[in-house]
Parts: sequence; structure tokens; C-alpha cells
Amino acid sequence: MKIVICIKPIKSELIYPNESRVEDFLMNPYDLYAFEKTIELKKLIDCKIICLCMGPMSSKALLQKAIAAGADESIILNDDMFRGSDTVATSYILAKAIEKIGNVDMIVCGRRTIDGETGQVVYGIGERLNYYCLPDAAEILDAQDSAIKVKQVKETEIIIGKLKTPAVVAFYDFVVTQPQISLLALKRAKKKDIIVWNAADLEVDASKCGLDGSKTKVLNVQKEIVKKPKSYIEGNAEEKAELLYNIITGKAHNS
Amino acid sequence: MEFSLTKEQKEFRQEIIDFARENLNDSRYYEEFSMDMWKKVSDFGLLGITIGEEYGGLGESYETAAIAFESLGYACKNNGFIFVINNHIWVSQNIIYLYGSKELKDKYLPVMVEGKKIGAIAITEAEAGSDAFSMTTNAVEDGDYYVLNGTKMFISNGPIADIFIVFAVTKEAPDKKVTAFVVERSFEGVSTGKDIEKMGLGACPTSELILNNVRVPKENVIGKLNSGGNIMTGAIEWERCFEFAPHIGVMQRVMEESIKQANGRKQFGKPIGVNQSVSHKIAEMEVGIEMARLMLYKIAWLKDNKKSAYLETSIFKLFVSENYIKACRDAMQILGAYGYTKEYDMERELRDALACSIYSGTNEMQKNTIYNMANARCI
Repeated sequence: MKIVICIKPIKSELIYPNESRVEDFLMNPYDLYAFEKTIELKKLIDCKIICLCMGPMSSKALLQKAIAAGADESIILNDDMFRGSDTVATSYILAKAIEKIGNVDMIVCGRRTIDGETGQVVYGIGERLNYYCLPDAAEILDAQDSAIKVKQVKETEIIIGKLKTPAVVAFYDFVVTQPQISLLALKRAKKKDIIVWNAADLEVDASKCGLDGSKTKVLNVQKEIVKKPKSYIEGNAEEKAELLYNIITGKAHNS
Repeated sequence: MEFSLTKEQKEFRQEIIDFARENLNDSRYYEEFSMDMWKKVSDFGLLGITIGEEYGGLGESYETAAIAFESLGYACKNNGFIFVINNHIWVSQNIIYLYGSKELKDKYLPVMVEGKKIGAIAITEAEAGSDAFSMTTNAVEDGDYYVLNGTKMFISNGPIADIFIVFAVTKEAPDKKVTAFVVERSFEGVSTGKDIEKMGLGACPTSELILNNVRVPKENVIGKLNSGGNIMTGAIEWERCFEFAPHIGVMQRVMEESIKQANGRKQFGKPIGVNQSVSHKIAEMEVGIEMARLMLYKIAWLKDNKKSAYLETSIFKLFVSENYIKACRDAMQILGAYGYTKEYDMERELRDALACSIYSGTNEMQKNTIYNMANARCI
């Protein structure tokens, strides 16, 4: 089975705002979650995992890390023509790269990126390639005979289902902690070439890329801070402790 | 002279910091050795940092190792656990790597690099501390074996080690000579005493090593017979350099804590850092860190270029230990009563730090060495 993971490089200061780090870019936390879940799948089934990343050449380090963590191959899509791409243009370029890779059974993505926050690329890729798109995945339980068994987590229920390949699977969760990779694996990965494809390699239509091919532009992303009203826990010490325990463990609501 | 780090070295440093912060700061293991943490360090690949790739190591330069161990000290708050790692790498595994036969390397290095076997060095005896060559543990030839008898004292990693680098007398006075042996815990007659309770470095178990008619195969001699003196000197050089590299990282961490306190703690309506009695202490910490780092990089350069660094490591050991202890004492003073409580890490930092003026040769012995070498150079 051939699996492509789409990875968005995120400026490291967005993930570690109070820390000076050596890397310019880190993996989008939603993509990192999807990546870790896909690497886990490698232990269960025979598959080839290819990381696909549209971004600057300095994203190379994070792709080398992906190889060290278990990916088989990494590809950077880099061209001046790609700059300023919104979700429409990005999904077009990624879809062209997936077509070039060929015979891809599954495309794995994070549900959204922390710098764009649109969550549209997943569906854009599915639409352009005419692949079924499954959101809210928590785990891929199995993948064989042209079918993927997936655990989906919805607000009130957990669904375990099968879908036919080829398909796009979007994971719902995120992880911030960087994966622990052995120094030896990292050293070996650094010796491996990262494939670079530009606009000519992908034979893209220039009018569909970059600012020319974009319909929207994200100007700014801000955190909205919603202050919760204060509430008080009533009762004797034992009752308070029990209620507090239940709130922490999600068995009760603080209202 | 090049003082900037390469991109690879910066990335390496970041990897070490991320790893240590995530895996090595479980406070439950500040006072006891954790095999789980040891397994994590082994899987991470740090143990084989300078060992060749043919033995499963990373084959990094000593310069990179110096940066890595400074970073380890900065990010890992468990100084005792770092001490375990250092004893394993620099004075056990590295001795086999640098002085051992191919057979010894093939047999022991892969399992040590993978962390399956833990190493320790055994020089000190109850009556032979600074005067190491007065040791009485001896090795007597018997066919294809040497029979070792004696008791070694204050063996760091003793209770957990599988492989001991043991120094024993093989030629008595007047031309006294010692030889280095690889001794496995599994050899008949090898035992260790109970864990010696110490003031600090709780995560590094320490004990006696008792050798009672231990038959060691001749192929376990490290280097040549009677060449143990040179190997011991070499081991001490590595110890004085790399066991003290993490202390620079600790000093950095302690300074950052002090700065936080100096800026955040207000008395008489202003941050305490505006008082020169506080800010000058921090300035002195920074001076100590910067000077120590320069010395460390110089020593690493000497070792990468296969040069002796006996004098330099002696100066480094003396300078780092004095400044490390001073930084911890000053930081505790800046933190005030909070620093003296068990709730804060500073009292533990200070307890851990105090040992460094004693181990790897007391600071008084370093001054003797420095004087003797400086004197010899001038005559």
C-alpha cells in the first residue's frame, strides 16, 4: 500500500513562542498527529510512506526527521510560482504531486493547520482527485485488500468503519511534542536525499498556482479569548473533592 | 580559530535538549537510578556518541560531544543520572574503545553502546584515593588467566554495572606497575557492597567492588601488561573534561533561575535584581559559564586532534568545579528562604555540585598538577 502524508511546515515560533529554537520550521501539530498514527500503521501492514510538503527549502530538516521517524521518502514542492497559494491553489498543487507519485492508495492529512485554520485542503485534494474523504479519524486500525478500517471520533460517538481505497483520511487531533527519534536514525536520514519538485516537474497550470490561482488570502489569525464565568464548588470537603475529581476526569461539568 | 557552531551541531544540541526535557526530568528518580530512563537514553543513541559506527555508535567528534553534554546538563535536572551516563561512556566504554584490542571492542562495545551492559571504572581504594598508585589490589598470572584480589572503594555505578574497568598491580615496587582489565560482574568472585548513601547525586548508585580470587582471561587485559598507568592518566583526562561539561549546562540553568528571581521578586517596591549585590552574582555566573565553555571547546579540539590535554583538563576541572559550586551557592542566596526549601530544586543542585570539588581528583590535587606542569615548563 502506498500512503502519502501531506505535511505543512509551520514557523517554529508559532509552536514554541517562548523558546529560541534552531529549526525554522516544525511540522504542523495536526499533521504531526496524523504522521505518528500513520507510522504506527507501518508496524501492522506492509506499506510505503511518502511525506509531501509544499514549502521553503528550509523545511528539509523536518522532512529528514520524518524519514528518521519511519517515513520511506520525502518530497518538497518548491517554486516561486507556488508562493501565496491559498487552499484552492494548494490543493491543486498537492493533487498534481500525488498524481505524479502515482498509484497512491491513501492520502493522510491533519484536519487543519495552525497558521491557516481553514481545514479546506483535505477536501480540496479529495475533490480534485475524486477520492472519498473521511474526516475525524482517530486511528487507522487496518488497511488491506483495497479497504481501510478506521476509527472515527465524533462529538458523541466513536465509529469504526471501512472505506474503499483510494481515499483521503483526515485526523482530528494534534500533538505538539516533537517525536523522539534516535540520533543514529537521524544521522542516517540526513544522508538520504530529499526529492525536490518544482512547477515544471509537476507540469502545473501557472494560472492555478500561487496568488494567481488563489481565491482567498488569510490576513491574520488571532486567538479569541473567551472568559468563563467563575463558579464555586459547594459541600463538605469530601463532596468537594469528589466533584473536583469528576470535573477533572470529565465525568461532571463545572456549572 | 572557529568559534561558531555548525548547523548540524546546533540541531544536535536541540535534539539533546528536547529529549532530556521530555524524558529525563521525572523527579521520582532524582534520588534513585531508573532503568526505564537508562533504556530511553540507550534507545536515543546518546551512549555511543563518539564510538565508531562499526560498533553501533554515532562517530561524532569530541567537539560535538562537548556541545551535547553541555546541553544535557542544561536540560536534564537529574545530575546523578548524568553522572551514571558519564561514567559509562567516558571512563568505561571509551577506555575499551581507545585502548582495547579488537576482540575486546567487538565483544563489549556493541552491548555497551546499546546500553545492555552498564560500565564502571574501579581505581580508588580505601587507602588509595588521590594517591591512586598506592593501590593494593593485585593481579597474579595463572596460566591463561590473571587472578585478581582486592577491594575497590566509591565505585560510581557499582551496584548497577555489568562491566568494570579494574586497575590492579601487576608488578610490585620498586618498579611498581598496574594493568587495566575488563572484569564482568558475572565472573566468579566479583561482588559489590551496598549502595553508599551520599549527600547528593542520588540517582548514581555507588558501592565497593570486591574481587575475591577473580579469574580474568588474559584477553581481557586492556592495552599491554603493565601499561595501566598511561590508561589511567588517559581515563582521568576524559573524566575531567566530559564529566564536567554538563556542569556548564547546569550553571546556565541555575543562572536563568537566578535571573527569573532577580526580575520577578520585588522587595521595597522594586525587583531585587536592581541591587548590585544580586546582579553582580549573576554577572559572575555568566563570566564563569563563558570562560568554562571556551576551555571546554579547546580541550575538545585537542582531543579531536589526538593531543594530550592533561594540563588543560586539570585547569578546566578546577575552574568549573569552583564556579559551579559558587553559582549554586549564589543562586540559593538570590532565591532566599525558598531556595533552602526542599520544594525548590536549588538545595539539591547545591548538594550535587559540592561533590565535584572532590571527584576526578580533588581540587587541591589539581593545583599540585597545574603548579608542577607550569613549573616544569618554565625550567
